[in-house]
Amino acid sequence: MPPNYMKQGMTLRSAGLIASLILSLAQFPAVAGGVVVTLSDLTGTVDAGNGGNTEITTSWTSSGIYATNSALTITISPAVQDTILNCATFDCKFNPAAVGCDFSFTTSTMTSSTATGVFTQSVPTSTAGSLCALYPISATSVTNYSIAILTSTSTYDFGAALYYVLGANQVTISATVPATLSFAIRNSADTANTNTCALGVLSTTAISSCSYRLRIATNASNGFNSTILADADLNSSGNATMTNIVNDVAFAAGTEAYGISTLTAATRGVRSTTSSLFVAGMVETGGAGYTTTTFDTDSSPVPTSTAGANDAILFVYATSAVNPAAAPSLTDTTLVTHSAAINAGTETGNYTQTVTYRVTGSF
Amino acid sequence: MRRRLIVALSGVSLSLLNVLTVHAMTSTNFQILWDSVNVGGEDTSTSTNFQLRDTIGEHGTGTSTSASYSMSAGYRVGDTQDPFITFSIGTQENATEAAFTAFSNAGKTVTVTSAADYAVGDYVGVVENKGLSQLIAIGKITDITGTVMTVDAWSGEPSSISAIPGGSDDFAYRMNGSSAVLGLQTTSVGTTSFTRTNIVTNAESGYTIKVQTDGDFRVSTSTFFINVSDGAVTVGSEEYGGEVVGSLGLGTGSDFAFSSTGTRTVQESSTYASNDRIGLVYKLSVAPETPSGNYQQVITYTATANF
Repeated sequence: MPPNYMKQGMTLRSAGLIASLILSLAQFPAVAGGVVVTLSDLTGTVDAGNGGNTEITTSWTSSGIYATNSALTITISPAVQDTILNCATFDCKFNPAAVGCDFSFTTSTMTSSTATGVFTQSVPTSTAGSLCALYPISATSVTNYSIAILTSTSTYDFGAALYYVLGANQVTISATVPATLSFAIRNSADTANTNTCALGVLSTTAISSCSYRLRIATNASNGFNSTILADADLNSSGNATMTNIVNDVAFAAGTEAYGISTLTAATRGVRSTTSSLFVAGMVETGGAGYTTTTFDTDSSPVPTSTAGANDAILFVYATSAVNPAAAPSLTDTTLVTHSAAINAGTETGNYTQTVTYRVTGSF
Repeated sequence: MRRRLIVALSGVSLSLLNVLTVHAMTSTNFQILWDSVNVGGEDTSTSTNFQLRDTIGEHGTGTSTSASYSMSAGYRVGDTQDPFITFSIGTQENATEAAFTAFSNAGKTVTVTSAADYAVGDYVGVVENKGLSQLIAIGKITDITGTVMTVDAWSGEPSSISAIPGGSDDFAYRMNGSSAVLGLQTTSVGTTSFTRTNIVTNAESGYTIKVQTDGDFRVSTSTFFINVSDGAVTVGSEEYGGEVVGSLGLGTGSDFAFSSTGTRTVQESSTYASNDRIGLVYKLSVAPETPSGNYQQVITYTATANF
């Protein structure tokens, strides 16, 4: 058993310990808060126009009171290439009542990784503050920089955020889809390929017609163009030539005329630019520039190599990819109908004409 | 409300506490936040990657609590840690593709046909059954002996990867790239690439990693890929999307569409992170009607620490 003087000493020491503990409890900070730190700059990347120097504003909200003259340290990691500086127009704002900047960096303590300063006014709790500093970041540094704040006052606020330089947090995804293009002349039912269109035996009392379909498919992102060109007017081995129909004038039995009586462009199969579904239609050309042959308004003469302005003119086109439904499809293919009518003076003979279509993808 | 009070006490100084109080001291120009009398310790130990502040000779340390208070005793308990967050991403580098012939989850190794493109410190990604249903694992290389690479730990789905892969579609890639090149497309094969993350932070409430794109996967604003909408990118259909792989990933197990109008959280944790990683796989399949062209998209990753 310890002697009484030892007991008294232990009692005194215990009292001192408790007293000092209470004192410590009273004097040490009651708040140590993690805060949300946000960063902003003018461009989001290194300001190459300023030698790679980047002015970054760090913002957060105080979780307690920052006493006047209490310190704040900003740390950037990894270190930048030179000493951190004040922004060209130094800016900060913490105390709402402050006039001008209420924080001052201690210039002598600024390094390439840390910058320390003091609050020149007391900052109230829950104050949204911001502080600008200039970081000399290498213009070629593809790096994610951590910028952290740590206050050393009665409130220990701390936090960090990332500053992404030159796409260090970005991935570029790429792929190539090769080009495809197909074209076939099909019968009017779209059940088989064909390269004939027989008008049959012509009569002065009727209009004779024949039809075929154009099946076009391409993954060209800008669609396709097609042109039509005949080798000559409809003729009987060069001996006689059938009169071409006048543009936009209807065929009439007993009136000699030959040409395209109807053109019905595909109403589906073209990729919609809004939905990406193949629900759009092709376009019949005509109008401006093709005043003598307007395929968008029936009827139309078949342009020939000797037809001047009508030489190899545009026929139907689309401005995005084309994917017709599986054959047979009467909506996703373009129907072309040729017609002829004769009068009593039309010379006898076997009339023919070769029509050539060319389809070009717009890749 | 429970309040937390932080007290910095040195165990060695306990016997002196009846004559020395341990508390912050201030003057006009200086402030000492905490102090103690100790027998040792060092405040400035550093290495390339770490900084150590240590204290020895303490007694009576630990945490005591009551209904309203919590007291932590010990010198370093008052030493507020410098907050930090480090974050990096890296993407599959196709040029470093090497077939892998063996994999060990427990042993943290992968054996490749050639390790010439790899170095200690690189990240390696392992892909089994390369394609839309592939399995992946990610690790940081700590040793290379011959063709055997050892990593610090495997992330992703390492427990599913075969010890001895069976096919000719099993590869390793260096994961330090910034571009995911899906290459020339055909309708018969789906293509993939992936990005790994790596995050370290002492934020006590963890972190969040989000992704957002700069637009559709596109040739132009009017020519773009159809985003996956049925949960799976399927061969022969025009679809584009991503899949998150890893225990810290969000929305794993199905393919999702990226967005340019909003962020998508792909990884998060509610506690400190020590080299937390996931893999984000990009998946693409084309249809015959898919418009030709060179498609591109930029995906931005943002990491936020929750202090």
